[in-house]
Amino acid sequence: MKPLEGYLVLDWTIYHQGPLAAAHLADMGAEVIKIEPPEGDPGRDLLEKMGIDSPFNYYFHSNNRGKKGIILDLVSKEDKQLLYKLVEGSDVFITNYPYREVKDLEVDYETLTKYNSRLIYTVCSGYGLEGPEGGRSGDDLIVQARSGAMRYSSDVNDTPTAIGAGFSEAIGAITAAYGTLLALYIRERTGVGQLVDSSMFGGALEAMREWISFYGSSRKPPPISVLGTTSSPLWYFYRCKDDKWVTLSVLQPDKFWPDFCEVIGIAHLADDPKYVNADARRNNLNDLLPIIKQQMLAKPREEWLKLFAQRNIAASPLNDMSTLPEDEQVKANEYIVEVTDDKHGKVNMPFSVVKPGKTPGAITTLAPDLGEHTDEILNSLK
Amino acid sequence: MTLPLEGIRVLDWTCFQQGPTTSVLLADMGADVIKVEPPEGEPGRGLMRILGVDMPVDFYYTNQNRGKRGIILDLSKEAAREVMYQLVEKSDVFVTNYRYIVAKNLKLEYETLSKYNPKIIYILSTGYGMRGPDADLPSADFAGQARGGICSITRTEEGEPLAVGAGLADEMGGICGAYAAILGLLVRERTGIGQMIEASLLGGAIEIVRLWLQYYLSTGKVIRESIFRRVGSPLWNLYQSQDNKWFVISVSEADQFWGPFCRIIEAAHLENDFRFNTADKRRQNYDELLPIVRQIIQNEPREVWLNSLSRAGIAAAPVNDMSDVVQDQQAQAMGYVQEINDAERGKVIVPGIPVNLSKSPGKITRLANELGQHTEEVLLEVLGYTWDDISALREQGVY
Repeated sequence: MKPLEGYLVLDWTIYHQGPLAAAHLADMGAEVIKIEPPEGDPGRDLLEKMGIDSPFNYYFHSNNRGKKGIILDLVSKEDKQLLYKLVEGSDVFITNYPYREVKDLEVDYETLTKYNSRLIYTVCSGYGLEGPEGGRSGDDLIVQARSGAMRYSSDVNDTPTAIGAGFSEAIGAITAAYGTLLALYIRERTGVGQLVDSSMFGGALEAMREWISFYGSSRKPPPISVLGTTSSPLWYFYRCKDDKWVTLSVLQPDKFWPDFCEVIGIAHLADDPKYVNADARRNNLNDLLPIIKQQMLAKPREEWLKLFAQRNIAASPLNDMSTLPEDEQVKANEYIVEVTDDKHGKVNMPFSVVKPGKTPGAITTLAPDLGEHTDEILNSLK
Repeated sequence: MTLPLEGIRVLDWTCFQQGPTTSVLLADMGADVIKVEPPEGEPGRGLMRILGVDMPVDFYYTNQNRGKRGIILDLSKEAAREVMYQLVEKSDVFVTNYRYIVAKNLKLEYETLSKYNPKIIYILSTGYGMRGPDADLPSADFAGQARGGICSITRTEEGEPLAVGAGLADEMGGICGAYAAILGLLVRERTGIGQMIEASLLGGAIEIVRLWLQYYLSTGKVIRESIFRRVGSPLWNLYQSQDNKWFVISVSEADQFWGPFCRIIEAAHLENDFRFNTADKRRQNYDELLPIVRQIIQNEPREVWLNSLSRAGIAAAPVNDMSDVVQDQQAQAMGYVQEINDAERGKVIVPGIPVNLSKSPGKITRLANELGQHTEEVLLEVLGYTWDDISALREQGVY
């Protein structure tokens, strides 16, 4: 049995966070029916709009895997009645449309719970439903900026940057799925459904908990740059000859500095007063880093990892998206799985959040075509 | 019932950030979390002191251990492990992020614990997964972020990878563990079965990079540059103002707002400059255009820019630091940042609860326990020991 087998989820979502939250539930075996307007989820066209060349709509499939798809025009009275009928037999309703719009269309929590008092209603918004910005849609870059995620991803010169891959959407989605599971669990114990109010901002702040705690406890500024805090070339990332990267994470740099110099071919600098100890290296980091970077380009990553391992110098791979699938741990733990689809054949997809021992989940299909299951689902209502 | 996990007991044998985070999220939702530490305390205590960070409150320990009861058990003693097994019998969830090889050696792995309590939900919180050549390797956030691809998707202007603060990989691993726990509880409620569920730092990191990983898996292409350079738009970018503050502009319909933006920065001549008058051209000539815009942004303080952009309907926001975050009205209204009244330390600002359940919200009650603060209380209340039993344990050096 899959963990969420037997649950029916109605998914009225667009783009990334909302659909992905529902996809997490589909992964664990829930039946998820994605409801789209006649023109479809605008997420279907996003890649094209952004000028990204990909014959396979990876964005839409990643966010909508494992779901069935129907078309309902919720502006129309007839289709709205069909939705209400579906709600009667559902366990969860998820939306990330702006909540004002949701209320105007009469598919909000108050309305739907009239048709199903046990319904779990999950809203994915930008910033939550309460407060001065309640119900507002979110934007990944803005949320990253407001939450501190950007400030605390700075380089050694304190220049911030942003995290890729739609960070706030991804963390907002897992938070929404978490809240939904909690609500399902409570309902199993008590019979009571409720509203689950999740947001991108809440997710991003959850990621920043440690630094909120740091500042909240002391009113002192948390470290702005991870690399800048240690200011140690032995706590750093380096590009190697084969364009792969290596991470050095040596906790006792003074102990390993002479060996490190020898391994990378700058033994003559080991005793140089500019670099001889941690303080000296911190003060002269901008002179030292280019030298080390140059040396590290001389050999491929695997060779460096072997040489460092011989001297117990803590080093490990820094993976980019092309080396991640080849990582032995990724393979051994099946964090990327093969999904077989009628139309697209075999597609590899990440599947790494949780691994239950007795009731594992699975990605069973890719995303549905627009309205692919409309007839099937609506016929089952008759 | 007012708290989601009221009546649920979690036995927490964890250290540092990832494991404790899993169970603190459950504590916030009302579970009775009993944290087991060795006599000298878990290694996370005092970590900040060792690193030279001087704070009135051990923010690190308290962040991931608030609201828990804390007991001491010297697990090298068999009598202590017996106590642990008795606690397992009275618990619903067991969480550990000690390396599984350590758990096996101490007979605290799933096979053993499930004999004492077949319904136990055993959350194994690993670094790089429980299988594979590096399954027994200790993991740390920094190396984990790098290995999991997070650093690769967080690049400088020059295309160099960066790590994210606040222990992002540890935190995400912790969140996945809490997700696993609720999933396990749900399955058990429906079917009666307990099981082991694994969540890892590497798995959590992969979830963070998912979209770009899927891009690679589907197209064979890798993004190895700063996200701003990748998008290639001055209207989706990061700027530093005259007063050394940072802000972002986030506009997707760039052609619509290019004219208004040029007027705001008083560079109307750029609007129809043949090098920059479409989104494609702006992307192609990014290296020419951005320095020009940045130079202009440096002429005014951030407040001025944010006001003019707002008036023009151009979405922008300050790059906040923590002093900004804790004052954010929206964060306070939603309880994402909270001020709690701790019995000992008075009012403290703490991270809040990330998701609100309308009928059964979570609640933060207090800061973290002192080492071994609740040992006797737990032995008396949960295991029904007498004071004589407790003395006997003390004599055996169990705690």
